[in-house]
Amino acid sequence: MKGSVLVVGAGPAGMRASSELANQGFSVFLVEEKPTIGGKMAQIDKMFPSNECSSCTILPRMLEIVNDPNINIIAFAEVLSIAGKPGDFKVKVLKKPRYVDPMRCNACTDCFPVCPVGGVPMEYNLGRGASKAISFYSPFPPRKALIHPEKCTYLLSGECGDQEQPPCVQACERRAIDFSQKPVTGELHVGAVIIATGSDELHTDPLAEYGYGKMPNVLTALEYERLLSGMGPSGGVVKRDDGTAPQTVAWYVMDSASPIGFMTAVTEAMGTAEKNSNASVRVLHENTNISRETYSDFIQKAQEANVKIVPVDAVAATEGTDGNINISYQTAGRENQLADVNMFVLVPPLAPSESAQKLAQNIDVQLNPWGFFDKQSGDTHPIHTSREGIFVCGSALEPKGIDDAAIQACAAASHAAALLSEARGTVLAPQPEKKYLPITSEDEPSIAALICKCGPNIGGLLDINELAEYTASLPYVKQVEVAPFGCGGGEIREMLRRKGFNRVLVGGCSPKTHEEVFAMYAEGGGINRYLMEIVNLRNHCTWVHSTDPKAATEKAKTLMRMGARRVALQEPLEDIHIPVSPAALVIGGTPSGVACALKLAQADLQVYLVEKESDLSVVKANQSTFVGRLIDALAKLENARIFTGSELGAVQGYLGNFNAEIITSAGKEKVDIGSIVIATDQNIATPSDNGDYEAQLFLQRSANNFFVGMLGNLNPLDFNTAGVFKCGPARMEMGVLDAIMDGEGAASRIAGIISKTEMVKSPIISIVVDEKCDGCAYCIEPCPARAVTLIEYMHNDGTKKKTVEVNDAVCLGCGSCMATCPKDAVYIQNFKPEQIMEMVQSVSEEA
Amino acid sequence: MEKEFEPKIVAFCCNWCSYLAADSAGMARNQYPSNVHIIRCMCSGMVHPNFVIDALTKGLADGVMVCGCHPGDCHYQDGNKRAESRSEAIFLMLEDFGLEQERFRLEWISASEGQKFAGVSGEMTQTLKELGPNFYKS
Repeated sequence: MKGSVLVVGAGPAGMRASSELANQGFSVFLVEEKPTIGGKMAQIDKMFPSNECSSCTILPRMLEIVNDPNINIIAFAEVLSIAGKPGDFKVKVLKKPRYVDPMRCNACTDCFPVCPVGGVPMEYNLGRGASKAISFYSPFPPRKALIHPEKCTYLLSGECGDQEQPPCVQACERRAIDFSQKPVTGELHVGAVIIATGSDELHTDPLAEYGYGKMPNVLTALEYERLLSGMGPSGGVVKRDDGTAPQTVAWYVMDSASPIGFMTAVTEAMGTAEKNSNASVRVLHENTNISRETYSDFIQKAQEANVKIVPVDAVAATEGTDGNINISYQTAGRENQLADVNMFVLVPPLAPSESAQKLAQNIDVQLNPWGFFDKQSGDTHPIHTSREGIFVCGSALEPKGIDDAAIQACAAASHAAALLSEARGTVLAPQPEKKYLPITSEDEPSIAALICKCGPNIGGLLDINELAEYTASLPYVKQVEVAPFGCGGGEIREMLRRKGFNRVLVGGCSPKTHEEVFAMYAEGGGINRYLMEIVNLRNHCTWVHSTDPKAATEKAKTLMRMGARRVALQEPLEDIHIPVSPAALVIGGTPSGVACALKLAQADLQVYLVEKESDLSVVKANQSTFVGRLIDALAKLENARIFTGSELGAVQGYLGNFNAEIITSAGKEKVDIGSIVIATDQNIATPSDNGDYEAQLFLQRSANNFFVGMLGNLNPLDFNTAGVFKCGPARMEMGVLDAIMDGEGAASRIAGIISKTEMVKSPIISIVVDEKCDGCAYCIEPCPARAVTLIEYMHNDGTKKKTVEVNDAVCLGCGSCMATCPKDAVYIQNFKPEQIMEMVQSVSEEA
Repeated sequence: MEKEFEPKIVAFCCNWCSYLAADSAGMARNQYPSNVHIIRCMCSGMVHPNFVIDALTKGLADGVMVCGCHPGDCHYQDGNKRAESRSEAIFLMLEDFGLEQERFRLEWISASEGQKFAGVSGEMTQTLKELGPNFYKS
């Protein structure tokens, strides 16, 4: 049995399934057909029902999985075949040529301006905007250049330019361009497969009836998303084809069977109204039924933001003057309405992604008549495909919102984890042993500084010699080296081979993309990663002040000065290890609770289920035979203990380390658990004579009595209290199958905590300086993690002292406590007030 | 000819939205004046009012910006709302210290809004040029 999983499709569902599995001790191959990851979520501007910025929400997740040693991203590739059986699959994967070696390309973009072929329509922007024949596919990872073979002069004719080598090859200092690349087939060995290939707009004839393809200002919803997106071809400014801003925009939702199209239209209309308060926006739909409370709340909010929602019977569109569109529609029971709009956005039905059918054939999995991965026979669990050991989640199963896709991805991960439980942890990337130079607070800082030219990106604008000389003059800087491309690591390794340094300062690109890489080089040289600082000379200086080399060089000096001062005050930090009680508590024997407990127990984890009824068969009698089978399966597993006729007493503790009292007819029993899930029915009020776990765990409910938790679309099962989750009717109204998937999704969230003996977390957390703290407790309320508590202790002489204490396990490191403290008594590691003020001081000084 | 006054501006940018916005501005080559210096913070809600007030009353900067995620987008639920309520206190303190309100600015800038970051930086620089140097600068 293999402890690795293949995930096909790197949209929000595939990315989520991958990170859930890696977090539970499995190795993941994430295969994506496009050259970059992120799927539709990265292409759209905002998500419903949270109205969050979509690309901003997914970008940190992308960086997380890119940096996860147990997730191997294989982009620009497709699955050719899957042979074998559950636990032991052999997968053939075809990697398409990018004609650029991703191991060498460092995204410097030097090759773009020298390419003579321009005007290549950008596929990522659905044909809007233009690039060179060598370009990035999208702004997202993996950020590697790509040559478009159907446009590249050299690939088409065998020559380009008047010299021996094509201009792009000459421009590439790292010799990354490789015209000899061919498609390559490789084999992966995995235990399970998750399909997350998503959905796409169905572009069929009816679109043309409304002028699509004929009138330039008729476009589809996804095309409009690219115009709204700040990372789109117009930088987030919606423009018509003549460059003018539209004042009237109408959406027409062509599929009334699913709420997704309607919600997409409302979100886009709201986004348009937010950007241009004078715009008149309306959404035409054919009585789409919206039952979900969070969706109808969102629609109401949109209406308050002047979005008109118009139920219609029939819609027609004809060409108007000045690029406008004349639309006519019949409102329910009224006369024909006419409107002259500047832009008309069609929201087509969603179909499976283009490659789904081919994939299904390649791997011998059934599709339903609409082409979704929804089997027609066999067992009724939606996440199982027709082939055992191959699971499906997200919009590949049916169109859905990102919140539902996230839950299903977690559920699919819990199925794969249950199947492969005995192989958990067997194929993980080895953790390198860290050996740091011992540094004490008495040791004077000794900084090794590297200035990266990033080819011409930094080196082409700044006076590098002047900057290097200046950097060498800064306090504690002992050596300065200049590198053409510092991210290759050669120069920094060489420098650190000479002993005597205890800090690293890099002037280069953004820490958001390169912190991990340089931290690795620092650690390789025996220097703690928290004693390394990257100064963003590229994104925050040369790229944005490119017309004034002198001013840019002056600013670069200031930025290096700020970085040097900051790194001198940084402290070596170690990851925080928190022991975990390897068991879970499920509250409620509902279908959600039973499904959650079953997946945990099948994954070889200890689970306690508490149900107030005297027998789970009471629950069973009220449920389908499907739930009955789950209950029977659960009863057979030894590591699931079911407490029927029982109630929860006092609950205490925090993430990884809770303890709970279970009150049974036979008396009280205490259990230690690492995580808790609420799977009760909605209307069960918790407070009983025995205890009030809702209050003890700081759980909150909405006005309609549903539990509410973390904001946003990506964590619908999480409470703000870390380690506590919610699923099923406890969080919103839902059918039994959805409730089961909710429970299974929660099982994955929980397994991510309790499948390990300890949690490892970043040391960027809050530290209390007891001598300064006077116990005013102002910092307690602002803490979003409720990590701060007020305590009192007694000195040896009997005097009492009040102070606050921070729980390392739950502190998020946001610094809200630091900003509230009137006594400078609490700070975030490596974001100390004196470090920040040193940087401010540095701004004021002249070089 | 006398050199034009170049204000020094400190921009506290949160790690999750506005720092990335400044990165996006770079990627899109959105140009803005070189007067703005970014200090990365985990959250806009991490910025102690004292950082802002000290920067201005000690004459270290001519202007300070605090940039965070849009309301509802905060990585820590509501750190940006905390920043907003603290900004009210900051404006009051500026008045007490006889400093112009324009020397401080709170902005919500998402990761994709590189253009907005550049725009706000340009506006802030222009405003401060018109206002002249911070008189706490001796």
